[in-house]
Amino acid sequence: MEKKTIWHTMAAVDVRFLYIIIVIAIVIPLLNPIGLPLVFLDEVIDTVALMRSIPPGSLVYFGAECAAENSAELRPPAVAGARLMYELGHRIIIGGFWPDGCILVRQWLTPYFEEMGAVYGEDYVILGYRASVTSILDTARDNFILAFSDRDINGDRLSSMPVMAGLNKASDFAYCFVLSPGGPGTGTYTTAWRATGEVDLIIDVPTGSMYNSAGNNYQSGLTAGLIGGLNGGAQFEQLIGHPGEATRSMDAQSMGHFAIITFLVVGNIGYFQIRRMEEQEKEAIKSGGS
Amino acid sequence: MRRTVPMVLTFCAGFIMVLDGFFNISFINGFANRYLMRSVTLSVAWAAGIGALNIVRLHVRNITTKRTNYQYSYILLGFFFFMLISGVVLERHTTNPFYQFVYSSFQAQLSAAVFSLSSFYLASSSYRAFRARSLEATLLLVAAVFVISGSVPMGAAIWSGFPTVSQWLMKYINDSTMRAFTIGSTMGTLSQCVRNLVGIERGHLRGSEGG
Repeated sequence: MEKKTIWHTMAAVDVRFLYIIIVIAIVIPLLNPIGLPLVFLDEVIDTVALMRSIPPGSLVYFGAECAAENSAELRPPAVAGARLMYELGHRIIIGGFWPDGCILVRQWLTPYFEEMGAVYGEDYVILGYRASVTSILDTARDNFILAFSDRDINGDRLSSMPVMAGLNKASDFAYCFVLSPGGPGTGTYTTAWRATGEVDLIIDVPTGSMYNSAGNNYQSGLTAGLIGGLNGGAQFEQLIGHPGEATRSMDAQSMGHFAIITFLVVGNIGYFQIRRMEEQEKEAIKSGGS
Repeated sequence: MRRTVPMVLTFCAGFIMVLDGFFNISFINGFANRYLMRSVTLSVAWAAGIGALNIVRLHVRNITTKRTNYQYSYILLGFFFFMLISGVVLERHTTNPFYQFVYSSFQAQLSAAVFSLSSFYLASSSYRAFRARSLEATLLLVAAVFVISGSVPMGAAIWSGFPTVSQWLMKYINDSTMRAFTIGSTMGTLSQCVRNLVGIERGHLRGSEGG
């Protein structure tokens, strides 16, 4: 009969045991934050400096490209971005091509806009979901209001809103701040407005899983700013002086990541131990047989 | 005829878009923007309609033939028509507070919950499946450990070098590889577009008669 070792027991561990460890690793720091200090990346520091360098009154496009499943990662930088834009006196035009994007961003930002005293139609406007991103962004290069059929998310006329003053075409935007969990996302705006020379400055706010391709665009200069994942969101919050949801979540993310690293290491040690024992057994059988 | 007309239309529309991209000819640019690009909206609307019909057909068939777990089809169809009708009938449609409440209380929460389950699968696979069986897998595993550790504060608290190594891997190894992927896939897309434009690729016209 095969000899059972601790490694065999660990290899056959009930998956629910792993799930419980992950839950504990995430929930405890959420309830009792440790407050580990963040490491600030140059890309986030430069992005904040870039936003601060844009004069008050400038028009800013806020790409609400998101869905409920990425709200945990994108909500904190969205809130922090909108806060900073409003504090800097930028006029915010929120549009999105994910069906849920504008609805979600409205839910996320409205309480903060109300708290800060921002007025809908004067300081910001939400365009609402539109299908066919390519044709709309293309039309917006020549006539922004026509591209969005002169209607906001509520069906009200865009052309009658003070926030739209001076916004004729995409090139009137000082920069775009785009949440990016995939496509449509930053790549869409880069192709439609950056590559054609309409908007030079595009700030990419990707999810963690999109961060690897986002870094590529940032390094090559296609995007002018980068706030990647929850970690980038936490740095962003702290740099603008409003630590929030991302900052509070970083300890939980740290613990979750380290639980996964522990699983990786322990799982591999077990795998190699079992393999070594099996080889030893085979050799013993061979030498016994010969 | 069934193949020639779509091929000619594809070529004409595609060629106009190519001209629009490379030249400033007001007639071509205007036609492309005003008609061709905006016609995409119609295609998207049709696609959404067909998708909706397909879902209804599939789940009605599930119920009528009592397939496995057909009970869930009742829930899906119930919510489908509830959201559809309330979005059309209610005042201010999808921006109506009631519609918004239902959306944010059900759809948004359930989507987030389903997505968050991936962390459990990730934990399970990292323990039971991600093995350093080969040199490539070992390199991948070591890189993953450094990148994961370097992207959270705890990594920096354990060893200050984690963020530096993580950033180095992301900036030099990851970025250059991603760039190669991007360029490769773009070239592939371009060649596929040319094949469609000149009619070499015909699979979409009449099923299996692609060439």
